[in-house]
Amino acid sequence: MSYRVELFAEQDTVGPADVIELWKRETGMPDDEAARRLHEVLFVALGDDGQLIGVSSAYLLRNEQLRMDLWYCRAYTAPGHRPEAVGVTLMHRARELLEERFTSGADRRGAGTAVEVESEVLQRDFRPAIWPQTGLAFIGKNASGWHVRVRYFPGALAPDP
Amino acid sequence: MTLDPHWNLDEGYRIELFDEQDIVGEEDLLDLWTREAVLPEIEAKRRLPEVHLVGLTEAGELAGISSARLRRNEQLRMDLWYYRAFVAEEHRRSNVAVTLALRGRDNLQQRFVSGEDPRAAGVCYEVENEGLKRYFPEAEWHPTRFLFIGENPLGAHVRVWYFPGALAPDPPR
Repeated sequence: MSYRVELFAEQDTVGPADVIELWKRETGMPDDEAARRLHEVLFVALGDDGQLIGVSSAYLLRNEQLRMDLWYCRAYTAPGHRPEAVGVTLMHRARELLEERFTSGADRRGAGTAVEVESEVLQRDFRPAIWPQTGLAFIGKNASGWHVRVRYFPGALAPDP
Repeated sequence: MTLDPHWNLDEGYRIELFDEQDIVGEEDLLDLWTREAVLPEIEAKRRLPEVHLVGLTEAGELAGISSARLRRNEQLRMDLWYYRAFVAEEHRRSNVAVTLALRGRDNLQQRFVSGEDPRAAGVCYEVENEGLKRYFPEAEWHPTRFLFIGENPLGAHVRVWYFPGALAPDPPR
Protein backbone atom coordinates (compact mmCIF):
# COMPACT_ATOMS: atom_id res chain seq x y z
CA MET A 1 0.00 0.00 0.00
CA SER A 2 1.34 3.44 -0.85
CA TYR A 3 0.87 6.52 1.27
CA ARG A 4 1.48 10.24 1.17
CA VAL A 5 2.55 12.64 3.90
CA GLU A 6 1.00 16.11 4.10
CA LEU A 7 1.12 19.09 6.40
CA PHE A 8 -1.92 18.71 8.62
CA ALA A 9 -2.72 22.42 8.44
CA GLU A 10 -2.59 22.48 4.64
CA GLN A 11 -4.82 19.54 3.70
CA ASP A 12 -8.49 18.85 4.12
CA THR A 13 -8.65 15.08 3.71
CA VAL A 14 -8.62 14.47 7.46
CA GLY A 15 -9.53 16.75 10.34
CA PRO A 16 -9.00 17.03 14.09
CA ALA A 17 -11.71 14.45 14.78
CA ASP A 18 -9.87 11.86 12.66
CA VAL A 19 -6.61 12.46 14.51
CA ILE A 20 -8.27 12.19 17.89
CA GLU A 21 -10.12 9.10 16.81
CA LEU A 22 -6.88 7.41 15.66
CA TRP A 23 -5.06 8.25 18.89
CA LYS A 24 -7.95 7.09 21.06
CA ARG A 25 -8.64 3.93 19.09
CA GLU A 26 -5.04 2.78 18.81
CA THR A 27 -3.40 4.09 21.97
CA GLY A 28 -6.24 4.65 24.40
CA MET A 29 -5.19 8.29 24.78
CA PRO A 30 -7.62 10.14 27.08
CA ASP A 31 -9.89 12.78 25.49
CA ASP A 32 -8.33 15.73 27.27
CA GLU A 33 -4.78 14.70 26.34
CA ALA A 34 -5.77 14.15 22.69
CA ALA A 35 -7.45 17.55 22.59
CA ARG A 36 -4.42 19.20 24.19
CA ARG A 37 -2.03 17.56 21.75
CA LEU A 38 -3.95 18.54 18.63
CA HIS A 39 -2.20 21.88 18.21
CA GLU A 40 1.15 20.05 18.16
CA VAL A 41 0.29 18.03 15.04
CA LEU A 42 2.57 18.74 12.08
CA PHE A 43 2.13 16.03 9.44
CA VAL A 44 -0.35 13.31 8.65
CA ALA A 45 0.22 10.17 6.61
CA LEU A 46 -2.68 9.19 4.39
CA GLY A 47 -3.35 5.90 2.67
CA ASP A 48 -4.51 5.49 -0.95
CA ASP A 49 -8.10 5.86 0.14
CA GLY A 50 -7.42 8.96 2.22
CA GLN A 51 -7.48 6.98 5.44
CA LEU A 52 -5.37 8.42 8.26
CA ILE A 53 -2.52 6.00 9.00
CA GLY A 54 -0.01 8.16 10.87
CA VAL A 55 0.53 11.44 12.69
CA SER A 56 3.62 13.40 13.70
CA SER A 57 3.65 16.12 16.33
CA ALA A 58 6.20 18.35 18.03
CA TYR A 59 6.27 20.41 21.19
CA LEU A 60 8.85 22.80 22.55
CA LEU A 61 10.52 21.73 25.79
CA ARG A 62 13.58 22.65 27.79
CA ASN A 63 16.19 19.90 27.97
CA GLU A 64 17.86 20.46 31.33
CA GLN A 65 20.84 18.26 30.51
CA LEU A 66 21.68 20.48 27.53
CA ARG A 67 20.20 23.71 28.92
CA MET A 68 18.59 24.15 25.52
CA ASP A 69 15.05 24.32 24.18
CA LEU A 70 14.31 21.59 21.66
CA TRP A 71 11.40 20.39 19.58
CA TYR A 72 10.36 17.05 21.01
CA CYS A 73 8.94 15.06 18.13
CA ARG A 74 6.58 12.12 18.20
CA ALA A 75 5.28 9.95 15.42
CA TYR A 76 2.47 7.49 15.64
CA THR A 77 1.69 4.93 12.94
CA ALA A 78 -1.32 2.64 12.91
CA PRO A 79 -0.20 -0.95 13.56
CA GLY A 80 -1.02 -2.29 10.08
CA HIS A 81 1.36 0.20 8.45
CA ARG A 82 4.51 -0.06 10.52
CA PRO A 83 6.54 -2.15 8.05
CA GLU A 84 6.20 0.68 5.53
CA ALA A 85 8.45 2.98 7.59
CA VAL A 86 5.70 5.61 7.73
CA GLY A 87 6.98 6.72 11.14
CA VAL A 88 10.48 7.41 9.81
CA THR A 89 9.04 9.51 6.97
CA LEU A 90 6.82 11.44 9.38
CA MET A 91 9.80 12.17 11.66
CA HIS A 92 11.97 13.13 8.74
CA ARG A 93 9.41 15.58 7.35
CA ALA A 94 8.82 17.11 10.78
CA ARG A 95 12.54 17.66 11.27
CA GLU A 96 12.91 19.19 7.80
CA LEU A 97 10.07 21.62 8.42
CA LEU A 98 11.32 22.72 11.84
CA GLU A 99 14.87 23.01 10.54
CA GLU A 100 13.75 25.16 7.62
CA ARG A 101 11.86 27.43 10.00
CA PHE A 102 14.96 27.70 12.20
CA THR A 103 17.47 28.41 9.45
CA SER A 104 15.16 30.90 7.71
CA GLY A 105 14.64 32.73 11.00
CA ALA A 106 10.88 32.11 10.93
CA ASP A 107 11.03 30.25 14.26
CA ARG A 108 14.28 29.98 16.17
CA ARG A 109 12.83 28.87 19.49
CA GLY A 110 14.12 25.29 19.33
CA ALA A 111 17.80 24.48 18.63
CA GLY A 112 17.03 21.06 17.20
CA THR A 113 14.77 18.06 17.41
CA ALA A 114 14.69 15.46 20.15
CA VAL A 115 12.98 12.14 20.61
CA GLU A 116 12.44 10.10 23.75
CA VAL A 117 12.45 6.43 22.81
CA GLU A 118 9.89 4.80 25.03
CA SER A 119 9.73 1.47 23.22
CA GLU A 120 12.17 -1.09 24.62
CA VAL A 121 11.96 -2.92 21.31
CA LEU A 122 13.18 0.19 19.49
CA GLN A 123 15.92 0.74 22.09
CA ARG A 124 17.06 -2.84 21.71
CA ASP A 125 16.70 -3.34 17.96
CA PHE A 126 17.76 0.08 16.69
CA ARG A 127 20.91 0.68 18.68
CA PRO A 128 23.23 2.68 16.41
CA ALA A 129 24.48 5.65 18.43
CA ILE A 130 23.42 7.80 15.48
CA TRP A 131 20.31 6.62 13.68
CA PRO A 132 21.25 6.51 10.00
CA GLN A 133 17.87 7.51 8.58
CA THR A 134 17.25 10.51 10.82
CA GLY A 135 20.69 11.54 12.10
CA LEU A 136 19.36 11.49 15.68
CA ALA A 137 22.27 10.97 18.10
CA PHE A 138 22.03 9.25 21.47
CA ILE A 139 22.75 11.71 24.34
CA GLY A 140 21.68 9.69 27.37
CA LYS A 141 18.51 8.71 29.18
CA ASN A 142 15.67 10.64 30.70
CA ALA A 143 14.30 10.16 34.22
CA SER A 144 12.09 7.31 32.99
CA GLY A 145 15.09 5.47 31.56
CA TRP A 146 14.13 6.10 27.93
CA HIS A 147 16.84 6.80 25.38
CA VAL A 148 17.01 10.47 24.40
CA ARG A 149 18.25 11.35 20.93
CA VAL A 150 18.96 14.75 19.44
CA ARG A 151 19.70 16.34 16.11
CA TYR A 152 20.73 19.98 16.14
CA PHE A 153 19.77 22.45 13.45
CA PRO A 154 22.60 24.03 11.45
CA GLY A 155 23.86 27.08 13.34
CA ALA A 156 22.34 26.07 16.68
CA LEU A 157 24.44 27.17 19.64
CA ALA A 158 25.42 25.40 22.84
CA PRO A 159 24.46 27.32 26.00
CA ASP A 160 26.57 30.24 27.17
CA PRO A 161 29.22 29.36 29.72
CA MET B 1 33.96 10.06 8.32
CA THR B 2 37.54 10.90 7.48
CA LEU B 3 39.36 14.19 7.58
CA ASP B 4 37.78 16.82 5.35
CA PRO B 5 39.92 16.74 2.19
CA HIS B 6 39.85 20.54 2.10
CA TRP B 7 41.32 20.76 5.58
CA ASN B 8 45.04 21.52 5.42
CA LEU B 9 47.50 21.72 8.25
CA ASP B 10 49.29 25.06 8.25
CA GLU B 11 52.52 25.10 6.30
CA GLY B 12 55.61 24.28 8.30
CA TYR B 13 53.95 21.70 10.53
CA ARG B 14 53.34 17.99 10.41
CA ILE B 15 51.44 15.55 12.63
CA GLU B 16 52.84 12.13 13.53
CA LEU B 17 51.80 9.18 15.64
CA PHE B 18 54.03 9.48 18.69
CA ASP B 19 54.83 5.76 18.68
CA GLU B 20 55.82 5.77 15.02
CA GLN B 21 58.32 8.60 14.94
CA ASP B 22 61.71 9.12 16.54
CA ILE B 23 62.15 12.86 16.33
CA VAL B 24 60.83 13.61 19.80
CA GLY B 25 60.80 11.37 22.84
CA GLU B 26 59.21 11.24 26.26
CA GLU B 27 61.65 13.80 27.68
CA ASP B 28 60.51 16.33 25.07
CA LEU B 29 56.88 15.78 26.04
CA LEU B 30 57.63 16.17 29.74
CA ASP B 31 59.69 19.25 29.01
CA LEU B 32 56.90 20.93 27.02
CA TRP B 33 54.18 20.13 29.55
CA THR B 34 56.22 21.30 32.53
CA ARG B 35 57.92 24.27 30.80
CA GLU B 36 54.55 25.71 29.89
CA ALA B 37 53.19 24.88 33.34
CA VAL B 38 50.38 22.77 31.94
CA LEU B 39 50.93 19.78 34.20
CA PRO B 40 52.85 18.99 37.36
CA GLU B 41 55.65 16.53 36.68
CA ILE B 42 53.93 13.62 38.40
CA GLU B 43 50.79 14.03 36.28
CA ALA B 44 52.84 14.54 33.15
CA LYS B 45 54.60 11.22 33.74
CA ARG B 46 51.29 9.49 34.39
CA ARG B 47 49.93 10.79 31.12
CA LEU B 48 52.84 9.61 28.97
CA PRO B 49 51.26 6.25 28.01
CA GLU B 50 48.18 8.13 26.77
CA VAL B 51 50.08 10.23 24.23
CA HIS B 52 48.69 9.64 20.77
CA LEU B 53 49.91 12.27 18.27
CA VAL B 54 52.56 14.94 18.18
CA GLY B 55 52.66 18.14 16.13
CA LEU B 56 56.13 18.97 14.86
CA THR B 57 57.69 21.91 13.08
CA GLU B 58 59.87 21.47 10.01
CA ALA B 59 62.87 21.83 12.27
CA GLY B 60 61.64 18.96 14.41
CA GLU B 61 60.51 21.12 17.31
CA LEU B 62 57.61 19.78 19.36
CA ALA B 63 54.65 22.12 18.82
CA GLY B 64 51.72 20.11 20.15
CA ILE B 65 50.63 16.90 21.85
CA SER B 66 47.40 14.97 21.87
CA SER B 67 46.48 12.19 24.27
CA ALA B 68 43.60 9.74 24.60
CA ARG B 69 42.33 8.08 27.76
CA LEU B 70 39.70 5.32 27.85
CA ARG B 71 36.96 6.23 30.30
CA ARG B 72 33.35 5.41 31.07
CA ASN B 73 30.83 8.17 30.38
CA GLU B 74 28.10 7.56 32.94
CA GLN B 75 25.56 9.77 31.18
CA LEU B 76 25.83 7.65 28.04
CA ARG B 77 26.78 4.42 29.80
CA MET B 78 29.44 4.01 27.13
CA ASP B 79 33.24 3.82 27.11
CA LEU B 80 34.81 6.67 25.14
CA TRP B 81 38.24 8.01 24.31
CA TYR B 82 38.61 11.20 26.32
CA TYR B 83 40.82 13.28 24.10
CA ARG B 84 43.06 16.25 24.90
CA ALA B 85 45.18 18.42 22.68
CA PHE B 86 47.80 20.87 23.85
CA VAL B 87 49.73 23.30 21.67
CA ALA B 88 52.76 25.29 22.80
CA GLU B 89 52.14 28.99 23.33
CA GLU B 90 54.19 30.13 20.37
CA HIS B 91 52.29 27.87 17.95
CA ARG B 92 48.74 28.68 19.00
CA ARG B 93 48.08 30.90 16.02
CA SER B 94 48.38 27.81 13.83
CA ASN B 95 45.69 25.19 13.28
CA VAL B 96 47.78 22.45 14.92
CA ALA B 97 45.26 21.93 17.75
CA VAL B 98 42.29 21.36 15.45
CA THR B 99 44.37 19.12 13.20
CA LEU B 100 45.48 17.06 16.19
CA ALA B 101 41.81 16.67 17.13
CA LEU B 102 40.74 15.70 13.61
CA ARG B 103 43.57 13.29 12.91
CA GLY B 104 43.32 11.81 16.39
CA ARG B 105 39.63 11.19 15.89
CA ASP B 106 40.18 9.65 12.46
CA ASN B 107 42.98 7.39 13.65
CA LEU B 108 40.96 6.07 16.60
CA GLN B 109 37.95 5.64 14.34
CA GLN B 110 39.95 3.66 11.82
CA ARG B 111 41.13 1.36 14.62
CA PHE B 112 37.51 0.90 15.78
CA VAL B 113 36.08 0.27 12.32
CA SER B 114 38.83 -2.18 11.37
CA GLY B 115 38.31 -4.10 14.63
CA GLU B 116 41.87 -3.40 15.76
CA ASP B 117 40.61 -1.61 18.88
CA PRO B 118 36.84 -1.71 19.49
CA ARG B 119 37.03 -0.73 23.18
CA ALA B 120 35.51 2.74 22.83
CA ALA B 121 32.41 3.82 20.91
CA GLY B 122 33.73 7.28 20.12
CA VAL B 123 35.75 10.27 21.19
CA CYS B 124 34.86 12.74 23.94
CA TYR B 125 36.09 16.26 24.69
CA GLU B 126 35.56 18.10 27.94
CA VAL B 127 35.94 21.79 27.11
CA GLU B 128 36.96 23.62 30.27
CA ASN B 129 38.32 26.80 28.71
CA GLU B 130 35.70 29.58 28.81
CA GLY B 131 37.27 31.31 25.81
CA LEU B 132 37.01 28.14 23.72
CA LYS B 133 33.37 27.70 24.70
CA ARG B 134 32.62 31.24 23.58
CA TYR B 135 34.74 31.09 20.44
CA PHE B 136 33.26 27.77 19.28
CA PRO B 137 29.64 27.96 20.50
CA GLU B 138 28.00 25.75 17.85
CA ALA B 139 26.05 22.80 19.20
CA GLU B 140 27.75 20.72 16.51
CA TRP B 141 31.35 21.80 15.98
CA HIS B 142 32.75 22.28 12.55
CA PRO B 143 34.93 20.94 11.11
CA THR B 144 35.23 18.20 13.74
CA ARG B 145 31.45 17.61 14.06
CA PHE B 146 31.69 16.94 17.79
CA LEU B 147 28.22 17.07 19.31
CA PHE B 148 27.36 18.94 22.51
CA ILE B 149 25.76 16.48 24.95
CA GLY B 150 25.73 18.53 28.16
CA GLU B 151 28.03 19.74 30.91
CA ASN B 152 30.09 17.85 33.45
CA PRO B 153 29.91 18.65 37.20
CA LEU B 154 32.66 21.26 36.75
CA GLY B 155 30.69 23.07 34.05
CA ALA B 156 32.89 21.93 31.15
CA HIS B 157 31.07 21.41 27.87
CA VAL B 158 31.04 17.72 26.98
CA ARG B 159 31.19 16.89 23.29
CA VAL B 160 31.10 13.53 21.57
CA TRP B 161 31.90 12.00 18.23
CA TYR B 162 30.55 8.49 17.67
CA PHE B 163 32.37 6.03 15.45
CA PRO B 164 30.40 4.46 12.60
CA GLY B 165 28.77 1.31 13.93
CA ALA B 166 28.89 2.41 17.58
CA LEU B 167 25.85 1.26 19.55
CA ALA B 168 23.79 2.91 22.26
CA PRO B 169 23.53 0.85 25.46
CA ASP B 170 21.00 -1.94 25.80
CA PRO B 171 17.85 -1.08 27.73
CA PRO B 172 17.64 -2.73 31.16
CA ARG B 173 16.22 -6.27 31.02
